[in-house]
Amino acid sequence: MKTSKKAFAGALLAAFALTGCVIAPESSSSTSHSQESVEIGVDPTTNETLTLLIPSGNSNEQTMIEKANEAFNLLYPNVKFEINFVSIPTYESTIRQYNMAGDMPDILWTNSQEVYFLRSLNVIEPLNQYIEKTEARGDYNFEEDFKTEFFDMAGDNGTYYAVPRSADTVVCFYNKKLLQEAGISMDSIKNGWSWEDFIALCAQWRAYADKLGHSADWFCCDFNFSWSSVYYPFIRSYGADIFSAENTVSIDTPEMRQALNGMRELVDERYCVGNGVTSGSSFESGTCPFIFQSAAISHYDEMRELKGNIDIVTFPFINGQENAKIGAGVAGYTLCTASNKKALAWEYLNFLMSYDGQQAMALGGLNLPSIRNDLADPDNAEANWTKGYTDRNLEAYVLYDENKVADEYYAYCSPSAMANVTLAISDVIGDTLSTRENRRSIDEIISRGVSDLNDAVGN
Amino acid sequence: MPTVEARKERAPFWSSLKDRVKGFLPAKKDGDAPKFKRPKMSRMQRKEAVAGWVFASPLIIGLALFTAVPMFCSLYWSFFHYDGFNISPAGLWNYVQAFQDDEVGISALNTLIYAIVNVPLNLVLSYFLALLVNNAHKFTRVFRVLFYLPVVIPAVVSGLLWKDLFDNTYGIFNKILESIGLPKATFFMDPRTAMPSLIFMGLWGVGGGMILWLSAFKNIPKDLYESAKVDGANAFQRFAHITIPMSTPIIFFNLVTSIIGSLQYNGTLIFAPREGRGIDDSLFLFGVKIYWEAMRIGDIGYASALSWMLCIVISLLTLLLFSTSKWVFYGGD
Repeated sequence: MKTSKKAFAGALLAAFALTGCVIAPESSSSTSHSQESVEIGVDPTTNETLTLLIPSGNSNEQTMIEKANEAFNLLYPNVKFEINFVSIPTYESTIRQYNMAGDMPDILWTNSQEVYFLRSLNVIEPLNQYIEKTEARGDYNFEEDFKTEFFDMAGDNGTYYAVPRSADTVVCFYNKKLLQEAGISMDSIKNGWSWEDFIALCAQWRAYADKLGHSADWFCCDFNFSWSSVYYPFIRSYGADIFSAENTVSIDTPEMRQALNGMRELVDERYCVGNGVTSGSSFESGTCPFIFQSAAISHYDEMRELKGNIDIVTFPFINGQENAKIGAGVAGYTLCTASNKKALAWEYLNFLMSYDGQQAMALGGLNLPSIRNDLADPDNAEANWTKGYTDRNLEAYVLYDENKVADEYYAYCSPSAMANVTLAISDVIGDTLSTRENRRSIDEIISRGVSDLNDAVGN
Repeated sequence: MPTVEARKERAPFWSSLKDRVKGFLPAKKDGDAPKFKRPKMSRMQRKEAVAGWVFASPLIIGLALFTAVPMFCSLYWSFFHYDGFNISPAGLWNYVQAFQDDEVGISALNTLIYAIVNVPLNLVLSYFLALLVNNAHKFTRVFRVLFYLPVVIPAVVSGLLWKDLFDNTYGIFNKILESIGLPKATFFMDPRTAMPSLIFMGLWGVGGGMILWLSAFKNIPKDLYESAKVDGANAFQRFAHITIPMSTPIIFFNLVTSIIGSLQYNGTLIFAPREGRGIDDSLFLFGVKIYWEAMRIGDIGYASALSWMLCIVISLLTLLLFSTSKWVFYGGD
């Protein structure tokens, strides 16, 4: 008993001693690291294995990478590939686990959001030196040959971090057969159409669905408001933003109120399904005529219910062309800092940017505009990405570059704040789209949003 | 400087244990040096010993690799700022931070409410369910299997199943409510109904407790009931004075494991909105908070500290239960 009392007293004493030892985390404001001079050029007979991390649950991504790998092997026949998969919702924790295990892949897939996470933790290499040296080798003229605005979307003040695999833009997919059956004229559906044009068609579809008895289970459009590539351009079109240039939370504005009211109206008019409501209506099942997405046209056109009935048009302009924003972003590949085969990994990324690489990926299902100017034109008969879909309005993907915007607000937060920022914004959007009887007013939603965002970024 | 003998006098237990372990010999009371003579094992004994180690080794290796190593890692990390990439000393910062974090308070309160309601409810219901299926009737076995079936369904599957059952539009519960003219329920989509829905959902697992009760009932000697009957005890008296006292060891076991399970619960991650936190954090349990910090925020040091705090709370509660377990009747007492 005496011994246990002594041990307890000792533990207490140790605890009291340790309480004086409370070390706060250092501020992580500076995240850049100096990069040594990089090497490019690899012996074509090199015998190495490259490890790639690509998203799971996307068969297109896998087939296009496999096609690219096959084509790369024509240049480097002895290079082998090991493909690992990552689930996008658990992307960050998976990257952490790879790092903790000391087993980071050479090449990481990323998107516009995750690239902030990767670059702020110095997981990925800046690519400028590689691009400059490759340009000097005579492979290309970077500024002239590529759609550099997509490199900028994954960049930071002129520093590039990712090679976009395609030029991804949110467009409006529509089901021609459904609209025809409803007797809705598609004359107004053309590139550069307005939000008002779109809403007029929604109203006609609503009346048609109600007449058929589908007042609660058929909706007009799969708006995808939970996706930042839709909600962010939507609120930006009203002149609102999430963070100001001074790095403060800026959602408490009349513009944001107007944007959120516009969103809520879509639910109240039953054009858009409410948050948390299972509608049973979806574009994929052929019961909803519109969807906002950045997918390849083949993604929907190969679905049994939709085959041959799909076309695309630009995202409708909200508040006129001068104010309107269109969601765009990067899905691409990065070079991992921890890789010990950087030169080879860069040659692979360089190949993905090349004419042959882009053409090979398109054969694997990448029916999205190329990041190369010589292949981006939908009228280019040689471009594989348009093959099989030349009768569709593929121009919708490549028009109005000046209106395109990526979810750049993550640049204002540290990696540890990203999850809470995402949650706070999704709460604002979710509460706005709520159909609950006792749902919050827009003022209440904004007030809570300000508080949550400030907590998230530590203001 | 105390002599060896003096030290041994102060710590007779340790020295005698040491001697016993070293020499496989009976403990010696005085200071004579023990004669270490390891008894020779026969071939058969050696074979048995090897076989024992071979059979036990998967469990030992598994426990070491997947329980002990992660436990020590998390204890180590809890004293550091660690995000999976960068590590720097934190001292007790992570532990102190827990007392200043509002979310810890919210999640601890939610967990407490969940445990306070869920544990007794599950204990009582599984107990009565076991009583119902304890008697031999025509369909007793069928009912036992039916009640136990949910327990063998993996948690992920049952989580997704309940998500569908509670669906506001197409869920079967709302269809039933609608069919009898009642308004639709909001279940997980309203902070006021989220916790009751979670507790209701927890009843899905009462079959697990039922099986343990049944095993306890089977171990109660029948002659006790027969003697009581002879003495004129009615069914309630037999239940109150024989069944309950004789099943106290299982009551105690179920109580301890249910409390631990409820405090560690993080199943809402599978089915609740807002990544398992529920609307307005109504289902933000402590287990979810740990997951959120480790997997979403990436603050592995802080998540480790929270895990150890939970471990300490659970250990203290378990100690408290054991120290107040005089009511448990172990047959031969």
